[in-house]
This record gives sequence, structure tokens and C-alpha cells, in this order.
Amino acid sequence: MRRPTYRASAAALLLALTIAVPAVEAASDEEIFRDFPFNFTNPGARALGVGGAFISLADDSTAAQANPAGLVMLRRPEFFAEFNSQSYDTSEVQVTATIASPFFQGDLTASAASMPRTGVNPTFLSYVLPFKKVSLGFSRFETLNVQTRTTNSFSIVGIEAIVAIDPTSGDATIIGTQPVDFLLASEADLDARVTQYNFAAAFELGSKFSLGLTGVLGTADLDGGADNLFRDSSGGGNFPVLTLDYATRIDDTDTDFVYNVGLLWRPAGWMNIGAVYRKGLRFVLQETVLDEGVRAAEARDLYGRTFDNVLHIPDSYGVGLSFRPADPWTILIDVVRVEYSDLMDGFLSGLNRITFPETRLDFTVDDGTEMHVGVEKIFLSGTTPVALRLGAWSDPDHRIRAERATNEFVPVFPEGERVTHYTAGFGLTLKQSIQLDFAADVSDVDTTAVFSTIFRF
Amino acid sequence: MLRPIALLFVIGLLVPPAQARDEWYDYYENALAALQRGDHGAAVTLIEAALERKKRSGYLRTYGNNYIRYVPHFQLGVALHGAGDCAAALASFEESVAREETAELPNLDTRLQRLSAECDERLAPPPVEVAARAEPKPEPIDPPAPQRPPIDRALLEAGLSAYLAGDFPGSTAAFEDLTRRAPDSARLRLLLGMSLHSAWVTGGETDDDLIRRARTELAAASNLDPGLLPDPALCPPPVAALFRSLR
Repeated sequence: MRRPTYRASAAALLLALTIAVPAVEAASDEEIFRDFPFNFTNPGARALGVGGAFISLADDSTAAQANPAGLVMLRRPEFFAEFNSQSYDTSEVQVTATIASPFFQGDLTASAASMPRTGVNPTFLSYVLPFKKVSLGFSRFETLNVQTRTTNSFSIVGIEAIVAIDPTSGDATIIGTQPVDFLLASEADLDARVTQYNFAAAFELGSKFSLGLTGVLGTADLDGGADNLFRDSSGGGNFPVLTLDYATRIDDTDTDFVYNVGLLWRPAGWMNIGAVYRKGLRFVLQETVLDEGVRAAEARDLYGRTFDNVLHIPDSYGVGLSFRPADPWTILIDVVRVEYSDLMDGFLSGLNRITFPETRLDFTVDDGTEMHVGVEKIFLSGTTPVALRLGAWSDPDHRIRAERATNEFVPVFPEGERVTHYTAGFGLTLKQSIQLDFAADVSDVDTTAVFSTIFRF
Repeated sequence: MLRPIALLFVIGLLVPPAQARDEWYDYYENALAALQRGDHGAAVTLIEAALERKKRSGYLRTYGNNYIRYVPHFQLGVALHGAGDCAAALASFEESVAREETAELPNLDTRLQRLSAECDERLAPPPVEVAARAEPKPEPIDPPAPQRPPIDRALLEAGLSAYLAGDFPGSTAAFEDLTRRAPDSARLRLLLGMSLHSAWVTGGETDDDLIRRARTELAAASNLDPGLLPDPALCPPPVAALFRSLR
């Protein structure tokens, strides 16, 4: 005689959880890495207002990030600052299902909550110094800055059948019942910051071409951990109160150096064509399995007392076209290929509350193509240029998902979907020295508001 | 990883900047800087280069969301005035007015009027009183002459522009027209004589009719105003010599 495992009943529960589990973004399937809102959009409210399509324009000091070749357009030293307020849809979902089957009668309840703390942050600071032969720029760009708390729980409460199995025929016979009260839970916190320091230089190559190079020194600083808990008071179980199963902690920093290359071609005064390649930063951060917990030893056997967590920001490359059909109008289009498969570099599975200790689960993510379109129109209010901007961009699915062929947790780690963002913004330039820009980006996933300013000396 | 960056960096430094910074606003802002330091000759060259690239005046976009006030004809006039070429400066100011470059800019407009007046003064013949002192004339006995119609300023500037551009048939036509309207103007007849003489010279000095007409106009100018002195900025030395010989 043996009791059926919880897996059979849990399958329905996991299906129900599909909507409750946010995307896995990087490093491992652990709770703390669920939501990494990387800031890949070109910095600046002007760029955001036109849907992030800025590769071919890049005519302000955000060019160090968008397309360093654009720095040659600047004629005066500029200081640039961007302040970004991003708010995410706080996912706080609870799903309950009542099951009445011959083997189990009761309730399955799943709840998940992700509570990112947001604020207004100076996400991009830049200073550009144009010379006759070369333009030099220095900038600081926050690619990631998130503080988040994530909790999950999965409970099964009811009556389950005690089953006897005939050893010769394999037939199952219910011989009695017993109460079930089982809970899996996790509580995770993360404070993560990835900062880039860009050193850019741009050169004229003839009258129509320019080349830009950006050396990027990146730092990653992660501080967080996940407590994985359970309670099992089924049939007078041994763990009637919430008990630590295993726990991990991460408190590490790492640096990396990469480069961006950009080209700008101005075949006519009314048209620009740009191309850019951005190498992604790769960080290796050490995580620790704590000694405490019922299955701490098992976790340490699987991953070691400390193990490497790889955080590889995807490489990307793109082309852009901008043209002015009439002087006050500028139309912009960018196509950017993002190699999201870089996220799978060193990816660890089996650390999640649900998947532990299945270390051989297959996860995957596809590379994606972003499309950015935007339009800018400038009005003159006296001698003050006022710009109105509209744009849109589509963000391809880049959710790390369970591989369908080999992974029984496919419903828990499903693929995502392409998200369309709509952007709008406006800006004004005062006394030819101070530029103020505002923009908002709205999508089903998040809302971003950006203010940026330029001081020209 | 660093190798491609270093290589591209070196390439960037080695490649000459070619026509770097050669947008119209580069020339224009450099011209304004030249004006500020008093280098009027350089300013003229730079503004002309800006005008080759951008003909439209106004409050124009440069890069990004930046705009500048682009008044090239006014600034060209200022530079030419500073360089001592009053006739050309007047032509530029006239063009500036025609394009309404300074219409909404009182400071610039006031300056334009002041510099135009200065140029008018420089180009105008010496006061009659001076000539009278040199060669006293009897007081007129006849009743006062009827008022002359004002000189067509635009046509005068067009003639001067054509003359300065070497378009002597064009300048001759303009000065002839003006002379027909104001036959007693010694200055207009001098300009017509200069234009005809220049046309004769550029035509290989073969057209006898041109030189004859030039002599006639120069003599008429001398007769009308014996004290008239040709502007050395406009009048080639051979014409000045011819003019003196006809007195």
C-alpha cells in the first residue's frame, strides 16, 4: 500500500497557477530572479517619446548609449540628466479550486505576490564635450534598479484517499481516508542594481559618415535571498507549523567591460541611417545555500555551499532610419534584434520552490526583434521650440519558459507574449541652452514616466 | 575584447575630419565669432559659405531641438560695412530688408538703419557747399527747380549688385534706367560711366560704342558736379583717371 503523491493533485493546482507566476528573467528559476525589469530602451524622454526609435537620430548626449556615432552632431558641451519613474503591475493573485474526486476532496489554493518598490531615480547622466576632430562623452546609465519582495504559497487542504494497490494486477482500491493539510511557501527579497559607466568617442569619417565607440564598464550589485518553507500536518504530519525547507542568500558584486559600436550615415540633409551593436554585460555573482532548513543538506549537495549565478545582459544590434518629409516633422523607425538567449548563459534550474530539487529541467528563451516607430513635430512658440512626440514599440516575448518536450512544469513557466508599448511626450528648449523633455510609456505590463533635461554650455 | 575598440579608436583618430563641422550653422556661428573679434574679411567668407548651404533666413533648426536666429544678409552687410565695402553692404542690407530678416528684431533693425545711413553717407557725393567753395558759382537767378523724383533704391541696389558681381550689361541697364528718371544726377551718370567702361574692358576693349558712351556719361557727371569724387572702393583706377582727364 502506498499513498499517492501530491503531484497528481498538484498538476491541477499548477495549471491554476499559470497566471500567478511571473516571468523568470535571468540567472536561475529562483524566486528572487523572477522580475528583472532591464532598462533597454534608449535613454532620454525625447527618445522615449518617439517610441525609443533613436538609433538614426542620436543628436543629443544620450547618443553615448543610443548610438555613439551621433555624438559628432553636438556642437556645444552638454550635460544631460534623466529621471525615470517606473511602476509595475504588482501581481497579487490568489486562485482557489475545489476538488471533488475519488482520491481527493478539498481545496487547492495558490497565491503569488510580487511587490516591487519603485521611485524616481536618476537613471541616466551624461556629459559630452565636442572637439573639432572628435566628440567625447561620459555617461552613467542604470540598466537595472529594482527592490522587490516576492511571496508564493501553494496549499492543499481536504481529505485524501488511502489507496491499496494489488501487487499483481496493479489495481487501486480505496481503503480509507485521511486529512490533508499541506503548504509550500516562499518568501524572497531582492535589491538589484546594474550600472553602466560609458566612455564614448565619435569621429567624422568624411562629410556623411561618423563612427562612434563606447567602452562600457558595468557593475552589478545584488543583495537578497529566498526562504523556502513548508508545512505538512497531513494525517498528524511531523511539520504542523511553517518550517524552513531550504534557503539561499546572495550579496555580491561583479564588474565587466564591454563595448558598443555605432555608425551614422547622412546621405541627405533630410535623412539619417544608423546602425549600432551593443555587447551585453556579463556578471558572475556568488550565491550561498544556508545551513538551516530541513533539506539544506540536499540543496548543498546539489548546488554546493556557494554557487555561481550568471547574469548575462543580452547582446543587441539594430538599424534605424529617420527622415524629415518637411522641416518640423521627423519620422523615425528602428529595428533592434535582442539576443535574449544570452539569458540562458549559466542558467540554473531546480532552485524554485516548485521545481526543487529537479536540477535537470530544461528552460529556454528565444531571441526577439523589437520594432520602434515614432514621429516628432516641432512648433515654434515665439522663439521657444516646442516638440510633440508620439511613438510605439513592440517588445517581443522574452520570458524564460519551461521546455515543452522535457519539462513537466511547462504550465508554471509558460511562454510570454509580445507587448506593445505606446509612448507620448513633449519638450521645449529655452534660450537655446536648456531643454526639458517629458515622456510616458504605457503598456499592459508597466507604466514609465521619464523627465530629462539638457544644459548646453 | 579591447582589441577591436582600440583598433577603431586609432582608425577614428587617423582619419582626417574631412568636412567635419561643415553644416551651414557651423559657418554661420564661426562668422559671428569672426565678427565679434573684428575679422570682417573672414566673416564675409564664412557667411557666404553659410548662404551657399542655407538660403532661407529665419529662426531655423540646427541639430536636435536647437534653433538659431539666422539672418545672413544682415550679418553679411555688417561684415561688408566693417570691411569698408559700403556699396556691397547696402546691397546686403537691402536683401535683408526684402527678406524681413530684422522685421521683428528692433535691435538689429535699428543697427541696420544706422549702418545703411552710414553707407549712404559714404557713397554720396561731397556736399555741394564744398564744391561751391572750390569753384564758386553764381547764385541761381531762375526760380527753384522742380522737385526731383526719389531715386528707386531697389533698382540702385540691383545695379550695384550686378556691377559688383561683374554683370556689367545688367548694371548698365539698371543705371541707364535710373539715369533716364534722374538725368541730373551726377552720381548716377558716374555709375553708368563706370559700368559702361567696365563692360568695354571685359568685352576686350573692342566695342567703340561702349567706350564712347562711357566717356559721355563720365563727362556729363563731371559737368553736373565738378566736385564729384569717384568712390575708390567702386571705381577702378583707369576709370578714375579717365574721369579726372575729362574735367
